[in-house]
Amino acid sequence: MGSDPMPVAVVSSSGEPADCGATAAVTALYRANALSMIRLAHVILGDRSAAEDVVQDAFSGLYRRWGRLSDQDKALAYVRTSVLNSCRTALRRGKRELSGLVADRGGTGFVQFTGRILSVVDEDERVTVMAALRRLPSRQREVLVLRFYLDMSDQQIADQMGIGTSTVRSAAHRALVAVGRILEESA
Amino acid sequence: MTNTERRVANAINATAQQITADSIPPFLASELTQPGVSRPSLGTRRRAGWLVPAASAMSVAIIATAALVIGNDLAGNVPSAGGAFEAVRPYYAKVTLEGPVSSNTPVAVTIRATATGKVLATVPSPAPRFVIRLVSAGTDDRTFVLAATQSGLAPPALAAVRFYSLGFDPATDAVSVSQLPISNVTVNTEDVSLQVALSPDGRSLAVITSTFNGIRLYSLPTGDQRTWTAEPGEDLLGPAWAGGSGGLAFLLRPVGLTAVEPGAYLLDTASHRHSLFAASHLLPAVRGSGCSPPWLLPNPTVMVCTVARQAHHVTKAYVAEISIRTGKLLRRIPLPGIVQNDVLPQVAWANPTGTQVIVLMGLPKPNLRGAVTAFLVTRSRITKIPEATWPGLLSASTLGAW
Repeated sequence: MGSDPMPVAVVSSSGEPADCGATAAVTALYRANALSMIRLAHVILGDRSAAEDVVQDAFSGLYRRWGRLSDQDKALAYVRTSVLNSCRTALRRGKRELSGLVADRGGTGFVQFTGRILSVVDEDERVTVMAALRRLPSRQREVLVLRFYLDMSDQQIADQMGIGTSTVRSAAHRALVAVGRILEESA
Repeated sequence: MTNTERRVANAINATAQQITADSIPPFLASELTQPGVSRPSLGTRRRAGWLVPAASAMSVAIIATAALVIGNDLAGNVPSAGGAFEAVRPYYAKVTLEGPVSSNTPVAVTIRATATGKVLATVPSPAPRFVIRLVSAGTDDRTFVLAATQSGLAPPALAAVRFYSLGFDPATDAVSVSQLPISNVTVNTEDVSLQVALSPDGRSLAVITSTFNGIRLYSLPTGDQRTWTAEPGEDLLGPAWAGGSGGLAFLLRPVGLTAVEPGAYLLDTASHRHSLFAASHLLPAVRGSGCSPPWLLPNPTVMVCTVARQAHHVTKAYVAEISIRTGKLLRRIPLPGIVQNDVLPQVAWANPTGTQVIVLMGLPKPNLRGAVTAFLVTRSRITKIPEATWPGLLSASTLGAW
C-alpha cells in the first residue's frame, strides 16, 4: 500500500549512466543502510536535512572511491566513519544545532513539529533528554549515541572512534553523570 | 541499566524513529559526485533544484504506469504528469492501515503528493490509547482534520473522540498538529459512526455521531457548540458544507415511522431554532435523482455525487452534477460498471465547477476487487491517483481526503 520506501534513481543529472559496478553496489548498500545512517546522523545533529546531507556525502564519497577500496566488505564501516566525521565537523562549525530537534509549544493541546512525526508519546521527556545531550561535548554525545542507538560495545565504539576503550568508558560515565545532573536541575 | 541510561536510550531511539523508511531520499550517483566537483546540498529543504531531473522523470514514469484511461475516444492517450493532476489539490491525507484486511488497524496519517503518491509527512496517532478513525479535508489544500477514538475499551462502551487539525507546510514538509477544543464527543464502540465536515472558513466543525441525535457544530477557536436535535428514528448522513452559502447539507433517512420526509436537507447554521427539522429545508431537487452521500456542494448552485442504477442485471454508475435549485442533471460522467458486492463509488473532492472529481471506487478488474482506489474523473478520462488505495471494502471516504 505504501510507496517504495527507498526509490532509487541512479542517474546523472545529465541523464548519462554512471559506472555500473560501483553504482549497483553503492546503491544496494545505500538501500540497506541509509535509514539507519540518517537516523544516526539525525540523533547527533538534530537536523534531518543536515543528516541527509551527511549521509549522501558519505555514500557519494564511497562511490567515488569504490574502485580503490582495498576491502569492499568494509564499505559500511567506511560510510559510518564518514558520517560520524562529518557530524563532528558540522557540530564544530556550529552550523548544526540540536535546537532544530523539535518542538515549539503553544497553548494547551497544541504541539508544532518541525519535521515528520513518529510519536508524540512522552514528547516532553524526549525533548528534555535530547536538550541535555546537546549540552555534552561532541565526543561524549557520540559515545552515548553509538552505545544506545547502535548497541555497540565499548570495544566497537573504541574501534569506530579511534580511541581507547578506557576513554570510551570514562567518556560514557562522564556523559551520563552530566546528563543526570542536567535532568535533575531541569526537573 | 540506570534510570538515566534508560531515559537517554529511550530519547535517542525515539528521535531516531522520527526518520521513517518511506521518507528516505534516493541515492544519486552522478558526475557531480566525481572528485573535484562540488555537489549541491541534498537536505530535505534544499533538495528541489538538485533533484529536479530525476524527480520529474520518476514522476512521469510513475504516472505513466499508473494511468488508467477509460473511454474509447481517448484510449491509449496517456496524460502528461502535469496535465492529469494540475488542477487538482496537490496533497492528500491518507490513513495508513496495518494488519490483515479483516482487522485493519489505522496507525498513521500520511500526507502525500497527489501526482506521485510520494509521502511528504507522516503523522501517527497524536495521543496514546487513541486510534485514528478518520481524516477529512479543509477548504484549502493543506489543512486536514483528524479524529481519533479511545481504544482498549471493553464493548459496549462509549469511547471519547479527540479532534486534531493537521496543517501541512509544503515548503518545509512540516506538519503542525493542533488538538481542537472539542471534548464531549463520544462514539459507541459497537457502532463507531462518526462523520465530520469542516466549514469553508475553517472555523467550525460539524459532527454527527450515533451517540447524540442531531448535528453539533463546534466553533474551533472557542470550543463553543450548537446542537440541532433530530427526532428519534431519524438517521443522519453525509454532512457537507454548501459552497459559499453557510448551509450544511445532510441526508435525513427515517428509520421508523416519522412524519419527516426523507431526502437531502440544508441546515441554516445561522438559525436559532433547536430542532434540526425546523432549522433546515428540504432540497427537493435532489429527490429522485439517486444522489446519495457522500456528496459535495462545490458552489452554491450544484451538488456533485455518484449515482448507481441497476438495469438489466448490470449496475451502472456515474458522477452526477445536479442543480440544487431545479434538480436538473447538469452533467453526467460515466464510471466503470460495478461488480457485484463491490463498493459503490463515492465522491471525495470536486473542483468548483464540478468538471474534475475525485471518486473512490473498486478497481474494475476482478483480481483487484476488495480494494478501494481513488481516481480523478473528468469527462474524457479516468486516472488512478498513485498510492491512493485502501485494502478491503472499507469506508474509504473517511480514510482519504483531498
